[in-house]
Amino acid sequence: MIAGGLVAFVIVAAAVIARRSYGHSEGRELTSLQRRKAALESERVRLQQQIRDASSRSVIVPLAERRLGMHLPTESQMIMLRAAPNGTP
Amino acid sequence: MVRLSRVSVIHAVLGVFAVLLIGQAARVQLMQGKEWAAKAQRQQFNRRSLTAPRGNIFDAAGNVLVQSREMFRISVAPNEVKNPTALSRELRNLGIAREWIKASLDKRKKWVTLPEMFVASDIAQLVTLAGIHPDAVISREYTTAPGVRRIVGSLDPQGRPLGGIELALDSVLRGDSAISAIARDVRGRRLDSPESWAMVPRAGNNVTLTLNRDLQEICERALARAVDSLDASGGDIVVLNPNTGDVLAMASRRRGQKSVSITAVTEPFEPGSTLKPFIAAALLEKGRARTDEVINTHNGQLVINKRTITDLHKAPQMNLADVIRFSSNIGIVEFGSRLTPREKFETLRDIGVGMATGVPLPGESNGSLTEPAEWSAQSGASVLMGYELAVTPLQLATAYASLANGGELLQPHIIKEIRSPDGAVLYEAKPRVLRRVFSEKIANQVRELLRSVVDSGTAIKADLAAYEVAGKSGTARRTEKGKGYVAGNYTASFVGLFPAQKPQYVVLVKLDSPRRSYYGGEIAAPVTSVVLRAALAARDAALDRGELASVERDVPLAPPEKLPARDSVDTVATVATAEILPRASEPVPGAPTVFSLPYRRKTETADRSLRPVPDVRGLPLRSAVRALHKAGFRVALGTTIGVPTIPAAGTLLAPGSLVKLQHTP
Repeated sequence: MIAGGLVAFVIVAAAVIARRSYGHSEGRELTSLQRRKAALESERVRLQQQIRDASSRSVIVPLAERRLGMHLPTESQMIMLRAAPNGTP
Repeated sequence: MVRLSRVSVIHAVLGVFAVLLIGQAARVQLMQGKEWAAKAQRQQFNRRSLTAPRGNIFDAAGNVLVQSREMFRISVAPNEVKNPTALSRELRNLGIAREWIKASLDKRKKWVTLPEMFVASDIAQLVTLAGIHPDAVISREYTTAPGVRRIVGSLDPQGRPLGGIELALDSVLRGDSAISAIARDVRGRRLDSPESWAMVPRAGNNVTLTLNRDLQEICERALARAVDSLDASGGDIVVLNPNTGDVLAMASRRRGQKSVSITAVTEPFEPGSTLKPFIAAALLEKGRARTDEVINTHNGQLVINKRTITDLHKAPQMNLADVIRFSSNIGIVEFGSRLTPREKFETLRDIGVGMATGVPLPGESNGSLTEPAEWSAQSGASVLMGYELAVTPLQLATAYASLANGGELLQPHIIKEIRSPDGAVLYEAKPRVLRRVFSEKIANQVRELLRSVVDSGTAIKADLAAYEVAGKSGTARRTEKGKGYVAGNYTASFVGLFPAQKPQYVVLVKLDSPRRSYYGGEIAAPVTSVVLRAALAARDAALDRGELASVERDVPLAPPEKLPARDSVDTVATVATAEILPRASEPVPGAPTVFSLPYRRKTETADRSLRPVPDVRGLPLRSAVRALHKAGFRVALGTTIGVPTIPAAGTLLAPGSLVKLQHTP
């Protein structure tokens, strides 16, 4: 009976330790994934900012003028379309 | 006598030991339990503060101007380093300076924090090494446009705001930080424990500005070119929506210094003639003058209180409309003498001179306006001409907005709305009328006077072919420390209302100490024109294009004859203007494309008076000049290579307009 009790104790203790070890391992994995997510989020912000800067007028306009020979139209070269009286464009 | 066996003695000892053990356990658990638990908590749990992500800042169209992101600050504990070679290599790969690498490996130091911040992906290898302690920090990612950066401000390495919106709205943007307690194992690694806890930091609120990023960039570019080409010491451009008070763009530039302040609100200047329309409005409002009323302008020279006042446009007499149109100092002084000093003071005070606008930017100047009791004998005439007082560019633009919107002085604002991180609107700017300064009738009347300034007065270079622009130029002498007013040192300015009929913009252009030319109408007015043209061509520049279509000119007006007095500076100004105009030519027009428009185009008849600039590409210089003369244009030669004409071939211009012909020397 005593031996049986000891065996049961060992089994229960082993199960508890195994469960805790598994929990810790999963926790570490979760923490690592959270860190990775934060890092990727940070990278996304940096890339978005670079895209915004690269597509801003201060970058595009000089390039378009220099490389493509484009220029801003004068106001007499633009036509403003007026909405029809019934509201349709 | 009972003789104990050896076994019994051992049993007794074990029994006593067991009792002592249980007693000690009871003492530790029951009597000292709380102390030990607290000690364990201190040893096993790290308590640290969690910085709240700072709120983002957007422009009016929702473009991100400033954003927060997580980065890492690296600290090294040299005594914990086990692989100095690998650590040295990793730090070198990150571009760390040699002295910092040396310090990181110096065993005499306990703790070294590297100055830079890093992205997590860049330090993935480094953090696996012993002795490296990364610390997450919230970093700010700013747009690269320098003007926007000046307005939004920045943070120092400790996260404290240094200026701009970051400083003014720090409490709104900052959010609430929190703390967390994380269990650590024996090696100091994070251990997920049910006893770990963390409060959630509350992110800062998001702020949307009234700025339009495209328009801001247009203004910055135009200002940079103008300042550089005119060799000016600096300049400012402010664009305001006169109907709402929204600040749409605010560009500032100072040569030779990296100014971080928003000089359009921090540096006041003497506005000169740009203040005359308000004196005219006060005279009309009080019934002291009519626009067609004629006054003696003394052939352009008048001595008052031993001071000689002169006019550039010399005439024996002028009516009030012409006084504004030709910016007559004598005329405005003569008309303005009908106002008492108190009335002059109140007129200027009512339009906001001497009072900060209240826009939430640090360091805003009040400008200056002294009480009439402190005026000298000459002050009465000086204030009428825009001297002995000072306004910031934003104050002056706000005052002009009152002429544009029918007489109401609006409070300018740069914050459009503030939203909580979950999107709830916490604040939304609404147009706020401070006071009515002029009746609608008088404001409209003065706006008509301002139309004539651009139409045929001192600022014809602000004119556009397809839209009417109203405005007033100013050329004010500048003072130097200890020298007073210095000859040849001027502030050139122009304030434009666009379009003149229903203004959507108030555009103020100010250039400080320009060297190649200094008349506001000659150098500041063309910058306004450049800004307006670029804004019209931009995809989104806060313009109501439906409204614009309704005020498009039926027949664009030809530029009127220039004043003889200005001809002497015209060449210089034209060169300066050409510098800030687009340089490339238009492609050769192909076969015309026919569009079916839902209405009859009103400008069909305009082609009779306007004519396209001919394409002279490939022609010898002499033939090109002949072709341009034959088409009815004046010709100026330039030396920019590869661009035939400015304006480009195909541009509709009035006969007599100046076309700059580029040629290879």
